[in-house]
Amino acid sequence: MLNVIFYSPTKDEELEWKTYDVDGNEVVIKETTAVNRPISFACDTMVNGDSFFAYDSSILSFNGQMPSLVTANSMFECTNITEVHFNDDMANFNSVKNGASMFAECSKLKSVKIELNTLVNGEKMFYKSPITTLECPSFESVLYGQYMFS
Amino acid sequence: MFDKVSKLTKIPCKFPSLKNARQMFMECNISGHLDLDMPRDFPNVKTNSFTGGNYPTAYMFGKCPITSISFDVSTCDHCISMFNSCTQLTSCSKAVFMVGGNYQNMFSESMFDEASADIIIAAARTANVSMLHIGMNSAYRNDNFKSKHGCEQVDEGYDDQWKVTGTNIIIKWN
Repeated sequence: MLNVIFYSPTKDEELEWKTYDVDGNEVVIKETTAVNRPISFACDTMVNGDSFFAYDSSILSFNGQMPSLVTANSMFECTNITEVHFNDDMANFNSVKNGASMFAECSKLKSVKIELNTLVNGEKMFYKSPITTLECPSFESVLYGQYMFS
Repeated sequence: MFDKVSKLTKIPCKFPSLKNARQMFMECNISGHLDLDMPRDFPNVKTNSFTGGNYPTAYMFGKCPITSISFDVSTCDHCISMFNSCTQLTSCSKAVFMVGGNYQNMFSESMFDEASADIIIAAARTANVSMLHIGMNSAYRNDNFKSKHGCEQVDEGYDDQWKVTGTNIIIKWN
């Protein structure tokens, strides 16, 4: 599996993915480039919404330590995502500050596992996505859950 | 854009604290029996946890194909419209309301049988709720209703905004 590293951009920087192929060669993928295969993300911080808009990959697995996640619309209308996992090495990843429409209208998204404590804004987080399996074993608090699973 | 709705069939996890759960599970496929026992499943919930917006629980389970419920909402001061348009809801095995709470439109358009409606109405009366809407099947809409439950006011129907089918009873104890 490729290791895809998301760099936190400033406003003046271009979004860029740093990945490695199976031989260890670095491959740079621009933001809108489709990667039609499973990928995982080792992230420090995601601050930019719309990060994966209409992204073409089947499984998103967030394995990094993300102390802060501000990702409104980040996976909105991603057409080929079937599974999303927020797991592994979750020591510092316990909060989603803005999950509004995060996985909305992902037409093939069936399975989501999220291990985190606090969701500040879950409005339309899974809106119109055909979720059949959802595991949120460590949720303690949800603020603003309007239309969350509608 | 597409028009599919969630097929979520179960509440996936416990939410100790919810602020504004409006339409949270609306039109999901949460079906069969729903055990909503807040003191147990929502251990840290406070009396004002369902806050935010004008109707923080409006349509929370709206239009879900729930057929029976058991609920203890004694820590929820207003569960307005929580089960609105759950038209397959016919049975209730346990009902506990918060004293003085407002349950306006909570069961609008449900189809409770007589035994279940009795449980809910008796619980509402015990808790002295300010308002309760409950849909009952036609077999239970009889002349004994007022005397049986001591209601001082019983109205049928509601305004067009809520698209009431005519089976609803609005109960107020003055």
